[in-house]
Amino acid sequence: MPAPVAQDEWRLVTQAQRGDQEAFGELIRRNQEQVIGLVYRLCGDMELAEDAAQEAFLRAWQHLPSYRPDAPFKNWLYRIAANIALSALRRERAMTDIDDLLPAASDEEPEDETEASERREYVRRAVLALPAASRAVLVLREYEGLSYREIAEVLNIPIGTVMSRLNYARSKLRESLAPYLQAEGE
Amino acid sequence: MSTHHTSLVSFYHDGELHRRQLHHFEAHLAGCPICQKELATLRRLSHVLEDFTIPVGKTSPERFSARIRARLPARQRQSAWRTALQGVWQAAPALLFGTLTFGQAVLMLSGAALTIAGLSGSVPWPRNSWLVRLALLFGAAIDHSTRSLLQLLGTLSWFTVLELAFLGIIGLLYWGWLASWWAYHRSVA
Ligand SMILES: [Zn+2]
Repeated sequence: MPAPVAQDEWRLVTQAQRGDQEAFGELIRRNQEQVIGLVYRLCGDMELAEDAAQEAFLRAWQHLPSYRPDAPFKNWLYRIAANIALSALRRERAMTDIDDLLPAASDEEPEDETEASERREYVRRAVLALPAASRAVLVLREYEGLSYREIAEVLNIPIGTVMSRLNYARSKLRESLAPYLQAEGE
Repeated sequence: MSTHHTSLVSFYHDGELHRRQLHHFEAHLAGCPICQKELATLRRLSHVLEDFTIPVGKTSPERFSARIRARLPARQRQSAWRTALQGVWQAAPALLFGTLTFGQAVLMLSGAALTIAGLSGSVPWPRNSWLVRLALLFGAAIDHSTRSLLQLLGTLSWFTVLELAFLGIIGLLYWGWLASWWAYHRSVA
């Protein structure tokens, strides 16, 4: 089995743990795109995603001495970022109407030229319409390629819950994305 | 495998099947149109989901990291004793296990030595054990061999108490360590 943390990354982490901001800067550069991407897919808003990712890196810096290389550094960042994003969503949910995020109910067939962008928007809304807890599992699996075990660790939930939430998310998406799933087939 | 397990199809799609399970499933899949269809749907879904792309951020990557760097609070370099303390904390389970093994060995050896010495009568007991004193208190007439036996029982039971106390302390320390480890990891994220 390969080591969970690559040697040069581990070197950067240990330097950063000793207070080396230069090394931490390199760790940010290496991971920012993925962390922002994860948070964006969790909350659907780029501005919010950048803020939450920034917050995640700051928190990571504070907690860096407690990081152990038993999981990839990226997964550890994901854990912190997902926590921040999900609690931000919980706060947000209390204020905004969740229906704003739901896919617009329309039975129009997507048209040719705008089809691609329409489809992107439709897929985005379908994913964002999922309950946050299921969405987090789906995003970590489908977009970040994490294993069930890794997802369980990142979200701090049992592996059985990972499976059931993933199942739920997929069955919901199979309903909401049905037109695209059929159009693609055969 | 004669029935279709949609969860197995998901596991397969997610790369969660290994070795024998994987071979079993692939063999089943080859001849099962239902599972094939399910797998095709999952693959299509994954493909369609790729359309949820990430827009270009408002902040350039350079500015993003620079902005965080600017907000990083300086962290005190860890002092040497703190590092040492952390090392001890991390090594605590191993240390406890070592202590346990060592303590058990000492207790066992000394127990055996005392037993042998007590039985052979070559070493005079420093004092009457509590069992002997109890017997004497009730005015029992005890000969030398009974006395040796009582002495022995007395020592053995004190040994048992000692051993249990030792185990208890090690156990407590270990659970304490586990609790602190748990609390620590929960506080991280
Ligand atoms: Zn089947």
